[in-house]
Amino acid sequence: MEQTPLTRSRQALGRYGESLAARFLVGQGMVVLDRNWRCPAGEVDLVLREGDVLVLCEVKTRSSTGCGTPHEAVTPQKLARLRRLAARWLTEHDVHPAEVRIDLVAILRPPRGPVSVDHVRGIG
Amino acid sequence: MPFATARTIALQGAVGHLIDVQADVSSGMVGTTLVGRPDVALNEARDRCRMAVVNSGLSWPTTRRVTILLSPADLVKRGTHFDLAIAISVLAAAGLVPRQPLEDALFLGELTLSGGLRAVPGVLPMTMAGAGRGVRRVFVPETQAREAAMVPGLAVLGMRSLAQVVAELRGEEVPEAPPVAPMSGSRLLTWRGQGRVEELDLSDLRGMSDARYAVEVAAAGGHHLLLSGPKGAGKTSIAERIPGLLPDLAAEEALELTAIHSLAGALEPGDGMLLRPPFIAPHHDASKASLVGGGSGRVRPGEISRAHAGVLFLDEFPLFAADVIEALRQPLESGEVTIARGEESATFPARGMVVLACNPCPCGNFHPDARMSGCVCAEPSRRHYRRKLTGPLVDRIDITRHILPLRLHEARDPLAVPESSASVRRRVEQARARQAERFWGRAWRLNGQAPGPVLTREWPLTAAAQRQLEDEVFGGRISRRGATRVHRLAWTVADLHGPDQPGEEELDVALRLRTGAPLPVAVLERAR
Repeated sequence: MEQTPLTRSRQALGRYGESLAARFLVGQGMVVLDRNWRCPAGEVDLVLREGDVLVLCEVKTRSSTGCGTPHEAVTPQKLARLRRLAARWLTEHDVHPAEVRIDLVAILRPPRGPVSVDHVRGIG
Repeated sequence: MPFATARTIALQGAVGHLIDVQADVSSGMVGTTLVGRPDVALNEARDRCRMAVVNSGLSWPTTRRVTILLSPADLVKRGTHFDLAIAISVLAAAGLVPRQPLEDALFLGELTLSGGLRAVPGVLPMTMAGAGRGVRRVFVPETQAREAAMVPGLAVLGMRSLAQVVAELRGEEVPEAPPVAPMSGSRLLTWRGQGRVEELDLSDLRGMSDARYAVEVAAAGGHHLLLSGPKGAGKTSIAERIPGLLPDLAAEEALELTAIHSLAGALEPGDGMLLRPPFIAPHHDASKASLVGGGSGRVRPGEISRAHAGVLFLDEFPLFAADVIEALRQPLESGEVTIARGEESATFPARGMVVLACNPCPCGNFHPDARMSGCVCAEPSRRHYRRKLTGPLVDRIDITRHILPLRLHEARDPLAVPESSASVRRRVEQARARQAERFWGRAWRLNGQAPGPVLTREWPLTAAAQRQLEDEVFGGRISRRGATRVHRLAWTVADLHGPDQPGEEELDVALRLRTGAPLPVAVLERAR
């Protein structure tokens, strides 16, 4: 499939955000178990472990809030899909953690000025 | 602590409940939830408040989870006046407004998308409900500051916009804001301008001595009245002049009446306290809900409550729908209306005088004297019409009078100078003063409102008159209820002109007033 320059730049922004989020979370003492895990039901950006807790993390990166904050991009439908993905990931890897949590890392990287990273624990 | 409370009021009929609007701003799935049983219009407050906040140059917490609770949560809340409290509680939870000044404040008003503060119905009763419950300051839309200020002991802050309220709470200088248009289309078409009725005077009307005496008695004792007569005889003219015979409202009545009009959304920004007895004349197409109260959503007071302490005039009353007429029975008897719903019931005061007017037949030209009757109605339709005049509502009417067209000699009589309203009003005021003295410390003021058993026990007629009244009942000429009404009327007749206790003469006049029989000339001489 042919890709336009705009699509490429959007994907680049997404990848940038995901690696920034991974570094940020590792810095918080979490362990990355999986990145960009795919299955027919969709994709999980990051799968991590924090102590006994398995964390599925959605990363949203925006370069401006013109279309709303990155937080607002996580809809109830998206959350429901992440829950289904969590179940599939656990089944495939045969792990049985004490607790499963879904987090959000919202990254705002404006063309100028500092990048902001907001880690929201347990969005649903 | 990402949590704050702002207070407002939920209305159930005329009863106000203090509501804590609690906002919590914390992390989690982004969005705004409003819980605590809001109705549809109130649920839309989330979007109104959010846009109003953003367009006021403030920020809504868009990266956080906002939960708003209307507490107590079991009460159903209706109306749009919650907006201001919701916006303020969210801003306080987000740390944009200090929490401490919210503790003794009450917030009332609807927000526009631009952040303006719009007028809402019921500000007066809501402010009354807040007074004496820890509330010291009330924030209201600017156009309604005068209304809220009728409640003593509170600081009223009339505001034009959310930004002004926020500045006031922060202790900053209040910014300029454009004025917000008041509620529109609130004054119903059925409302006949109170000012017009106040201009009318009894001296405009010639003759009609019988009807004049009847309205004087009705005004003095707060009795319900039925006027029948051919079209053009002056039924409406004389009914419209009844408010002019009534004294100014007592302070308590004035507050009740103004609160009812506020609930009905019928107070204009310029209106102060309503001090004059209202005259309410709904059209005969009026629905049951518009007359006794109700409506979908919030329970609104009906016309009968808006006529509280005044006059409810039903012209051509046989043309009103049967169920509408039926619904008036209970308020006529008890002086209040109770509207029961599945989850809530609302009670409004309704102690007005009811004045009914009707034609003698559908075409309006019937006259008992065949030579003068121009009636073209078929006998069955005339009978059908008359049946409506004997129903249970009419049984609750104290005074029935038949008005005949003015006779030539009455119209031309140079000596018959009609008495003015002011002069009749003085007699009415004296009679009311006698009643006030007699009923001191009781829950009612007028003979027409006195409970029958209490009247019989504590304020009987003279022994002879009492015997005569019993004879009328056992003779089947009047009902038990009718006897009670006659008893009340006899007291009013005595209060107007007579002795300290109603005797046979007063009873005779009362019986005639009730049954529609002609009055003795001596009585009519008193009112000309």
